[in-house]
Amino acid sequence: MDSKHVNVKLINDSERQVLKVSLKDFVPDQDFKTIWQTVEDKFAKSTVDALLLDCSDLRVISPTSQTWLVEDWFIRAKHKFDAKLRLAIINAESFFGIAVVKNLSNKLASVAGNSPHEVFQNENEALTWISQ
Amino acid sequence: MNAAPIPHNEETRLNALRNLNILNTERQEEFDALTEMVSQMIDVPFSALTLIDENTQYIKSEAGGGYGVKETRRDESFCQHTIMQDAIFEVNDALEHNLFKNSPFVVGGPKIRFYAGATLKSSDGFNLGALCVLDSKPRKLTDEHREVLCEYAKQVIQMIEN
Repeated sequence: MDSKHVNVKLINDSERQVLKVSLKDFVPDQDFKTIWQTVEDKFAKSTVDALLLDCSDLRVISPTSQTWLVEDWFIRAKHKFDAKLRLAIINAESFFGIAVVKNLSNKLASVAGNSPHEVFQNENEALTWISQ
Repeated sequence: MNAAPIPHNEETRLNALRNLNILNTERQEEFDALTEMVSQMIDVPFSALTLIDENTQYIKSEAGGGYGVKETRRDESFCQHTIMQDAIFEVNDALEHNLFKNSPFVVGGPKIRFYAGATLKSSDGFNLGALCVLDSKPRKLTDEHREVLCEYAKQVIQMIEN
């Protein structure tokens, strides 16, 4: 999947399958939900061990979308696919994007349970953590 | 009604504002996301992004539905005072404030009691509007919230100009 708001691709690491979701610019609420439905479909069709959420080119998403991602999508995905799903987030470079990532991380901390998540500054760091 | 204060550079300020071609345009969801974030960060029920034209305050975005309209008269607005200064303009309790105690937005409508606005200063130095937070209860911004509001205002005007 590749659009002006997102690129979704499967990375085949030697040990793990990682689904990389790269968000771009401003993602409107409705498009945001469509993107994550696509991600959920990809999860269902493959054996994914970890999710790599790349926010480096993200400008902003609304607090409504932030809450929905964590409290609706993430909790559903955790139950549906793997309770120990790893989530690595590559931090944003923009001011508002950084605030979004901070919000997401804080929200995840309250709901993630035994599903580990971390924020990284680049993809290499994130993939290293995922492969551990 | 407030006496409308006029910036010393009003004519060139208005030209700068109109050259952005953003007045009277459709609501942009991206700005709504930003005002929603401001409300969340400062923990207020309402926030708004306004632009001050000659006689009109354009509400480009708002979170929480405070004003509930796209524009108001300039001389009824809080933000006309914000653009007169570079520092945050804060009204802790509008009912106790001579300029605002009879405002239609204080005695009616959203019944605003608290207002704090940071100027949207363009890259060429014109105060075009404000990013503001509002509450129906009296309150005072913390130092941290003042910093957040100023920083958000700087970022918002950059986005408008780009």
